[in-house]
Amino acid sequence: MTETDFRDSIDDYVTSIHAILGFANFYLWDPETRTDVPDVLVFQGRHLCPLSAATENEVRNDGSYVTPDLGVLLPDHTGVLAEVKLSFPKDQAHWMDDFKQLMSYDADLDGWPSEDGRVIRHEVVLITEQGRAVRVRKFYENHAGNEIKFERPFVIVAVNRSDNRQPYYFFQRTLGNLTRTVLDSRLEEGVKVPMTVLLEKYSTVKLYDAEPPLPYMMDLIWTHVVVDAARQEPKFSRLHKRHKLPVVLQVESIVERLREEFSCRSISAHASCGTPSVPKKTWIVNALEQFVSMKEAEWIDAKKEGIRVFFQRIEDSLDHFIASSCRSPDDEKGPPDQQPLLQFPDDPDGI
Amino acid sequence: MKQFDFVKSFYKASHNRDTFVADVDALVGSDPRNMRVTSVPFSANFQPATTFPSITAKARKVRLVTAYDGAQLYELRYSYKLGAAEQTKCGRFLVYEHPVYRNVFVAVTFEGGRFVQKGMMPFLRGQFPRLVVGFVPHKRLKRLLAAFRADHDFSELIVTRATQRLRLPEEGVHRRVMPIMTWPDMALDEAIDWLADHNGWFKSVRFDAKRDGYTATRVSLTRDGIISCDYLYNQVFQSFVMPVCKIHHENYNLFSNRARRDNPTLAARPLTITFDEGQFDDISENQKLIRALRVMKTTSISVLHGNPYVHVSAVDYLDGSTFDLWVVDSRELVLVPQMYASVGAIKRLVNHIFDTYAEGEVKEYCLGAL
Repeated sequence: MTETDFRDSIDDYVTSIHAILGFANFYLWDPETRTDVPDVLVFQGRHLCPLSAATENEVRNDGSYVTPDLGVLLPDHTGVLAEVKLSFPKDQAHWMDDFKQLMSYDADLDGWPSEDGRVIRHEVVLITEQGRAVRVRKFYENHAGNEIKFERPFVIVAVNRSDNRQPYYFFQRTLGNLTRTVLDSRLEEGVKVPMTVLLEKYSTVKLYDAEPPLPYMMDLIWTHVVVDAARQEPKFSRLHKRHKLPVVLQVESIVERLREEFSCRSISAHASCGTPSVPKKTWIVNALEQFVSMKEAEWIDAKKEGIRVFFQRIEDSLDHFIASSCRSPDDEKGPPDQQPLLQFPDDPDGI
Repeated sequence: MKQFDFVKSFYKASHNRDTFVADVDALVGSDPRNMRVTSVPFSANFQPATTFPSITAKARKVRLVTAYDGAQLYELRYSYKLGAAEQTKCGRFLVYEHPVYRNVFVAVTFEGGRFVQKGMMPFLRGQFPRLVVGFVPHKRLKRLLAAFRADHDFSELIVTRATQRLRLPEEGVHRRVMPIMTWPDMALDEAIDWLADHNGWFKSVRFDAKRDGYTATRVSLTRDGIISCDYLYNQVFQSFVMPVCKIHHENYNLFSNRARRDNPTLAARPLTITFDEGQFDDISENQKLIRALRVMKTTSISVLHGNPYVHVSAVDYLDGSTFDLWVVDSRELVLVPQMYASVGAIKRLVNHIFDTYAEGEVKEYCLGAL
């Protein structure tokens, strides 16, 4: 991947997080009373297990589970499961995979952060980029009733960042109806969410249930875990530019730190119980492997549970990790079959 | 004939919090024009009386000589290089505890400029981030000078020497600020207005406070809050030292406990820097801001987004503080301290923005309307 590819993918990733937070905020914030709505819980990367069709009460014992990007449990014991899919592959043949994933949420599920782990009913929401929303809706309509079937309400919400001087995210419902009628009416007309109102959340939630681009993950580890460990060393403040300060870290502790501090768990309304999976340990290991390949770290045990990172003062850490990732062997695989977000190509084959 | 040593006598005498300023004023008045007193307000999250003597540094060592009520006298032994040779010198300074603001102190010395520049200031700055020396924004300085002149009936304030910095707007310049030194013999108000018009600020200014044609006192001020004079210490103290103490107090309170880890819920406690109306209306301001941030020493600046909104991640390598910076509004920069963020690091970042980009007003972040 080139530097531009990485920059675009990081922008896509961050935009997806902003879209998730913006959508969650419709349930967490009451614009009429201008207060937080009490007793709403949001969750991310939580394992929800389908219930057995035979008994409707037992969790299917095949070990399968689904992990939507965002879940919302409302005080009336109903719920919302949302998936953010801002970019779609050029080849529409692959779109069915995404809809199959959405259909997997259209089931009685166990594992909600309610007392009994269930809800009375829930709806499924696809959040997609506005420039693709019409085609995605048409794709759905062309296959609805045949390959695509939803028993529960299925809603498509389009989102777009408006790059004005005071940027905002624009959300608009383009298919289906949300059960919450007031919110549904608002979204039918479209709602602007100025970035300025959610900066606190944008600054604390930096991960969602999808593996981030490698340099972004590395930068997160560097800035918020490696630096924090290095600053405990007496030599930290006196370190010269080219000197290195070895810092030993455990992979599990990195996972836990980022989970606690930069996933959706850092939102106060987040359901703290459940099976957290953001970030996944494999994402962290992948990023650490890149540190090792750059000779900026070394594993300290054969099982790769611990690592020694050679901290040094990097002037622009993200730029540094992007540049090093461009040179990595993974680069040869080429960019994924996806278009960068917020690009409206003239190419008619594109979306 | 052996001269009477007023300073030695001052050190031996008893002082307390209530009489300290008057005592210093009397001392300086005993030999006006020949004695200079330098005051450096600072904030610290410790008590200097207990902490200073325990600080061991190769080049600087402090000894507590006398503890008065609300003030202490220290002796500082310091080394510095002059050419190839290493010089070791010794000097004394007092620390005055502010009577109201618990975390604010004033270092006071009668020693010369070399002691201040090579000994006392490096010693104080070396305690960063637990100790923070001052910062006086240009607009605030202008207000202080106007009040000083009005409150004490000075006919005019004449600049005798000044060092200024002009913020450079163009790309491709290594330094973001251009130093200039002048001795303009200009009225201070004119100099201040000229600097404001040219997007600049005083790094230091020395001026004569004139009353009916004669010089009542010679004062010098620096942007980092070093204040010295050769007479009328009480007036200078009330007009400059106390207001700078107040700035320290306000900043200490505003910048304390901002780290997410200081909060049990790990929620962020952002600050905003509000600039003049329409500061970011022109999209090119984003790049100017980013360029200004990138020249900050000992700091990593990573740009996650630069246009049309700004999102920057900053790491202070002096103490490991981390921040997110956002511009999503035409006049505000939002500074979000991350898991660890010291008072000193926040202040360093804000000062850097004021020095190299533009000055604004730092306030608590208020959630916008949805």
